[in-house]
Amino acid sequence: MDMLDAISCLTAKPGVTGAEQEIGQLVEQYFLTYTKDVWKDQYGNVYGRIGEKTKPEILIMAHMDEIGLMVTKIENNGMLRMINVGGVDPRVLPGSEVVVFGDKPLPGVIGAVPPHLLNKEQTDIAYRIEDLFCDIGYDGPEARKLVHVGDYITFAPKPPLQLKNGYLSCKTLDDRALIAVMLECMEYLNKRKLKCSVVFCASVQEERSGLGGIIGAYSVHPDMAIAIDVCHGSMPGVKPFETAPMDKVVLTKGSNIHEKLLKMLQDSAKAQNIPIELEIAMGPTGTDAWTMQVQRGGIPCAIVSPPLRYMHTSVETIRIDTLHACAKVISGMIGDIDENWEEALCLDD
Amino acid sequence: MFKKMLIDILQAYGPSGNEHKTARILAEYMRPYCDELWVDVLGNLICHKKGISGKKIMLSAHMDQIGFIVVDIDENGFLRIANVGGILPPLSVAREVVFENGVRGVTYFETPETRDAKAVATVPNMYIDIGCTSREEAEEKVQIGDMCIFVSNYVDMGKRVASGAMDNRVCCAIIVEAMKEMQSSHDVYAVFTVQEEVGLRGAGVAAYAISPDLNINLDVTLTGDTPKTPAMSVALGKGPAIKMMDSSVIVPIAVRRFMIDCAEQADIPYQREVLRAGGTDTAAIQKTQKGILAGCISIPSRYVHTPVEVVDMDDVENTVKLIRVIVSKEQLPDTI
Repeated sequence: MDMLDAISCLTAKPGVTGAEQEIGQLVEQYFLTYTKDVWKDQYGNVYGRIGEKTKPEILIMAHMDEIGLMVTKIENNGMLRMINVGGVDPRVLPGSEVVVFGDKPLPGVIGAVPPHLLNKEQTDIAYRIEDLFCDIGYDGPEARKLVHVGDYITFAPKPPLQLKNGYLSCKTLDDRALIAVMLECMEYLNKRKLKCSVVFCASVQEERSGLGGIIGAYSVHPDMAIAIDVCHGSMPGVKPFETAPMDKVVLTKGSNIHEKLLKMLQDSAKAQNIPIELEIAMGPTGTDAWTMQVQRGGIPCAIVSPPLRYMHTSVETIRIDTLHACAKVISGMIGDIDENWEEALCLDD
Repeated sequence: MFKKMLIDILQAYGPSGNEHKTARILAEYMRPYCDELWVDVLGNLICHKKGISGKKIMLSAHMDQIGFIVVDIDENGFLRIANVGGILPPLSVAREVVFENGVRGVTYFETPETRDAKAVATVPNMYIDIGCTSREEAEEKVQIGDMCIFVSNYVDMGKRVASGAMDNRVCCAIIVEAMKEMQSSHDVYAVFTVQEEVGLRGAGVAAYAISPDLNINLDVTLTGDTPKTPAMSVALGKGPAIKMMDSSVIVPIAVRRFMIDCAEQADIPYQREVLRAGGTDTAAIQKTQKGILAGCISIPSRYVHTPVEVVDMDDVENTVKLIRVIVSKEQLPDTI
């Protein structure tokens, strides 16, 4: 599988939280190239199983929804007022090219008042989402014909920008890059004889309520689950313990994480000489692992992450080799699962 | 007729976690229009009207209301309090409150400076004066853990009415009214939920027990039609607000489409709602079991979570009509 090609296709599809149909269709097609056992649920989670359904069953989840915006009001001059869907930072919005998903997709820009027309106090104040507007060129009556309150807006998709050293910059690498990692895992695992069943799930609504993680874990009812999601990569202006080096696979440790499942991942990395970094998270991890953990009487959960810089902007940056390494750590762990899996997960020693 | 019932339901006592009196009143109103009704272990009132299609629709509205709970009684008989749900302290002082046993009191806050116009009430500096002069005297009337609500004055301004319990008793009354002349081939479950105001606690539990094919929840929403409000397109009197999104939930596009089609086919005015801050039971219902399809119809309301929540009776009437149309549809949405 060509990772760059998959990422280019996956990041090009819109899929703001709650409107994941289009990206879901693409993921479904990708899954079908690796397994016939593919299905969807009512809220749009896409699942693909590798191996016969048996115990233990492992659920691997990466979310396919993306942050975006929603129209709250159409002004009489045709400007669209907006609210964020998920954690959009209003400070990075002015100057953005966007697509407004009205009755048909419309190009738009998010403007800003020029600095010439602002006084000192105004230039010092950060933008608030309530103050921003999206310009699609139409006046009020024209805009109202095609655009409605509740319509979605995304950053305009562009092909990934290839920086030096295998660094890749693009919108929505959170978490589409990890959908590509799931595909690579499926490819690896198809070549191995497995003693378990693996369900891959591209989940919906992670960026807001975690709905996809909740209903996904409830319906699959796996014996263990791994959320794969991005974490923060090192960059100027952040503390070292808040971030991880861009070339390391990050495993999370904390109350959201099952220690033995973490150990299985660590063993897999060690066996393959893949350097890892531990991230400590004692509270909510902000991933699907948080919601999956408490379904169905409790599910052992772990998190595998590649570091990513500039999260929730249109220039999210990641290192492609780290993505390959993530796929190896996960596949290696799953490939090593044998009949002693219950013992391996037992916390009582 | 409707107004008389509305007033009755508005005046029922029912802060979150203590809704049994409200449930009893609603049960009396609902009994003639359903085949069976019961109260579950959390206190949700579930009213079932049988159908023949094999499909289940759940209509829901929370019946709890915000209030205060007594955490301490001081030596001079003043009650110190904590909020039950999203109280707005600056707007909650100098108000009349009432306890379940009928004890009356008034709210105020610590004012170290005389006539300090800039002093701001917060929950910790607020207290309730029930007219007693000592702890002993106060303890005869009120115990720690007792809850009170705002005394609900009903302000009739003609087409528009105000009350402190409009959130969400107006929606409870709407469901009762809609059930009166309801035509549906589906099993209809009207559910009056508990503890919405303290974290959407009741609705998911009821949805788990019922496992409906579709839920339509009803709640109040804010408006953008008063002086200097954030950009929001909802206004009083322009029809039921069909929810797209709020802080807690995104309504599936197929469910939005279904509700909008129902309104358009029946010529019922409607508005699209995106609420910037606030949540509703729909969120908890969606997360139940393998995911339950759920949407929400909101009654536009001004000054929510104050003693003067205002709604428009035209919106109320149109919402009753819209619900009747929704439950009459044979074909329900089955995916997003």
